[in-house]
Amino acid sequence: MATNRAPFTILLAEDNPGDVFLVRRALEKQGLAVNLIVVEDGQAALRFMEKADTDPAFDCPDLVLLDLNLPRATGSRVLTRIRQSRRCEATPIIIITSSDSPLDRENSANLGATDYFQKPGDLAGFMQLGRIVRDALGQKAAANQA
Amino acid sequence: MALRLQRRVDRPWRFLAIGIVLVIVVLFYVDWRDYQTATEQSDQARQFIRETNDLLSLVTDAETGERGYLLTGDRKYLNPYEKALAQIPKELNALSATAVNVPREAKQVENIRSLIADKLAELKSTIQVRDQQGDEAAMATMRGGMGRLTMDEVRSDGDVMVAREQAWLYETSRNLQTSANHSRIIVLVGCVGLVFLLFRLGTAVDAVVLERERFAHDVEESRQLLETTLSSIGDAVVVTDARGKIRFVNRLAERLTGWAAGESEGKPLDRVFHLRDEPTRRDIRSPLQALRLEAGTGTNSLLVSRDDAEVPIEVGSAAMRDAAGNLIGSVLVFRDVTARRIAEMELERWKKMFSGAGFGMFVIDPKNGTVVDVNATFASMHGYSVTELLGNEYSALLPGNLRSDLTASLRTASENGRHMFEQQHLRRDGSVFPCLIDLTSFQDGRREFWAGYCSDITERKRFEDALKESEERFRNLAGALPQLIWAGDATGKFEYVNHEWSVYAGWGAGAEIGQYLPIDPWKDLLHPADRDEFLRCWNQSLQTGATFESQVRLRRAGDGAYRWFLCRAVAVRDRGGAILRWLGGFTDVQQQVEGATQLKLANEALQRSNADLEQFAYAASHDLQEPLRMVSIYSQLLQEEYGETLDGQAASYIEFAVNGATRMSKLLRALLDYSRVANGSPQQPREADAGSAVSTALLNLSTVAEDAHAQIEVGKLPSVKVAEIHLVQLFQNLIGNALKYRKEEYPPGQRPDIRITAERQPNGWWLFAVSDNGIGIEKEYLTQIFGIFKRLHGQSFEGTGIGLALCQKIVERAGGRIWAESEPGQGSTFWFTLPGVEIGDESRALYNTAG
Repeated sequence: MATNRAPFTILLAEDNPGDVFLVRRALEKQGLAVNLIVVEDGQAALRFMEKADTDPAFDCPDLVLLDLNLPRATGSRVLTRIRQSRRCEATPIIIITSSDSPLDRENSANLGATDYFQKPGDLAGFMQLGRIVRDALGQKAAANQA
Repeated sequence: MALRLQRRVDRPWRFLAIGIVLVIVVLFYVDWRDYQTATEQSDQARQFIRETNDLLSLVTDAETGERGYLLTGDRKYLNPYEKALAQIPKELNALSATAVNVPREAKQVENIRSLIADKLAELKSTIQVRDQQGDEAAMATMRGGMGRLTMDEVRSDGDVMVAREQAWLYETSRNLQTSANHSRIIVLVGCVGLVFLLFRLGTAVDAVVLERERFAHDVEESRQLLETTLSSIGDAVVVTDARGKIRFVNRLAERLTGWAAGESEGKPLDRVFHLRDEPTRRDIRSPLQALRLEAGTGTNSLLVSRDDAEVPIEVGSAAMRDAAGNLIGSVLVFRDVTARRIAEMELERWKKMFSGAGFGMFVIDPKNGTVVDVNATFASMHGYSVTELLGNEYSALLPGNLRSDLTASLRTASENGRHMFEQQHLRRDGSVFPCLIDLTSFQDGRREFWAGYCSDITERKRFEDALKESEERFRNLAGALPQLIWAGDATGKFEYVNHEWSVYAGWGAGAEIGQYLPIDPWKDLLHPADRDEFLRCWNQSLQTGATFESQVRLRRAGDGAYRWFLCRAVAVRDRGGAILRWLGGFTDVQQQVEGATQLKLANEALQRSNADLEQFAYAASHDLQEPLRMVSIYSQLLQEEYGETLDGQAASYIEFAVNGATRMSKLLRALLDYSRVANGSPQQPREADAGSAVSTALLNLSTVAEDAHAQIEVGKLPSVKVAEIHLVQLFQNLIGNALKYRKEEYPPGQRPDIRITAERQPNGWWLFAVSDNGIGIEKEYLTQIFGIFKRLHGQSFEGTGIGLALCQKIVERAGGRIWAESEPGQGSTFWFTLPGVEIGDESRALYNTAG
């Protein structure tokens, strides 16, 4: 599935290198050529959004993968910030978290998360994330082409 | 008499006046008649004159016409002649007719008639001459003088008549004038006479009127005097005429009969004065007759007033006769005797009361101390009859040694007006008994008496002694009790406190207590924090009489320390239910309270510690999941990517690691479930249908159940106050266990059998049972199985060891209890209680603590 446009840019906010690796692998398994920008804490994610808003040369990511349990600033705060962004407020955001609390799920939806992915305890389950991302990007591409 | 007086006075004057008027009238009539006749005759005379003049004028016209014709020969001049010729006979006839009333002219009229005839004949012949012989001849004839002569005669005669009548008219008018003057004189004289008469008459009438007024005034005065007298006397008075019709009633009679004077006057007596015989209750038809039969007076009569009220009256009557002895009327005098009746009745009543009273009564003459009066009770009380005591000395009824006391008592009664005292009395048989005497001094007219009542108080004395003894017992008992005992009046004021109380409150011991009683004890005793609530409850009890119960801190006088007391007080009521007094007992519960407080504190600490633990378990299990996930996933990755390059040994190592991690993950998840139940999930509605929860659980377990070939029976299950998710977990764990711990083999015809039932308890709770025919549980493990991570069967059965702990937590959080009964090898039953939906949260808490 070759596209005639530049690879997608994905912002991943995740402090656990093990999970970063698994995410990267899940995307690769789907054959997605992506430019994955990884930030390891909430502050870094907020700074990234600041830059995106102030520098016109800076492109918005095509998608954000956001862990809720981030050091220095929570995922919820980052989520709120993105939805308040001047330029990137429409970016699809997939929450990736180990929490199965219905409360977290509900809060994320209320704050404007596009999807919610609970990190499973098995490898195959985790790899499902790749397909979810691909679907989200496909919808975005379709929306862009239209 | 007044009328006669008037006649006598005015009779002669009246005749004189009538005479004068008659004379004047006669004179006027005569005058009037003369005047009438004269006027008529005058009118006729004037008519006669006018008609004579008219005739003369006509004759002249005829002659003038004839002459004109004679001279001119023109026949037009004959017109006046012919006109006159036609009129003259009429005129002559009229004159003759008038002349009938003027007889003095009759002869003259006849004379002039013939003269006029002659003249007319002459005129006619002349005209004929003129016509036949011409004017000369006619003129000649005329000049013959015959015609002229006749004409003069006619004129002369007419003038004579006219002159004579005018003279007559003048004469008549003078006569009339004279007659009128006479009339004036008569009228004048008559009027003067009448005026005189009127004056005399007026004076006479004035005198009569004055006399009459004086007379009327005298009559009115005497009438008023009579009426005032009758009205102001204290008796009612009715006066009738001879026929029994009422002529007068005074004000009192009006009031008693109910008939106003104006209404009753003229009415028959028995209509207004309605009498009823009191003993027979019969109406008395003719009161006057009835009264006369009773010689003019009557008692026993009731007057029935107009509005049907009965008044007892005393009535007297008398006939009124004129000088000749004829009956001219009757007088009834009566008075209202209600007050006297009442007084008589009262006297009668008091007499009866005195003689019939159940206690002794007596009257003493203080002068000599003799008994004036006693009643039967008093006499029999002493063993005498009434007559035996009358006139004897009162002091004889007392034992000899006490007589001097009596003198003192009587003196006190005399000085104070009243005196009550106890006294020993002597019966006829010499026995002595205690009496309560109440003596009152009173004035009967000018004399002083002492009246007293006397009651035998033997029984009361005995009762008092018994009471004293009973009270002594009570005091001894209360004094020996460790509680604070008290007795108070109806308002709650203490009248008695036991020794303990007195010492505790610092009211002193022994006789000292007395000076504090009665006491309102709550002033300084109550702990300020308890004071308001305690007094509120206490006042409420005082008002309602409800048993008082409260726990309160009371200050100990010795060291000022407050100690807890359980206070209880009950109202003592009389037969009517009114509160007589209060009895209270306060128990020192300081130690129990302290113990309870410590228990409560320990309990709270334990609960806090449990909550902390549960919170910790939640956090730990959640946070432990993360690294475990890494171990698990990366072990899988290792196996997936390098499994082929590793030897068998390495592969089995990895497998152990993966299995360990997976198992650990399951344990953690179960632990997480458990701690979530413990920490609660407030979003969930805390009410669910157990039937549908069981269905969900069975759906989740369907694979296992099918593998086990189990028969599962579900009874009718209620809705309970537990969140649905927990209810599903509860049933899923219990049914899951029942399936898991089935026997490996069942006898033929049998298979795993699981029953789920619920039974309603009288308190609204439900008792559930999940029973199976599985391997069962050894007795010593029956309580252990609910502990966390407790597993009885090692690795031979798969499980986390948390299921039953979770079940217990769910049931306990709902306020219920869970336990198991089992027969090893036969099966197990898990019992648990859950609150029905109609159970309120408060009662659930209560049940929980009670359980």
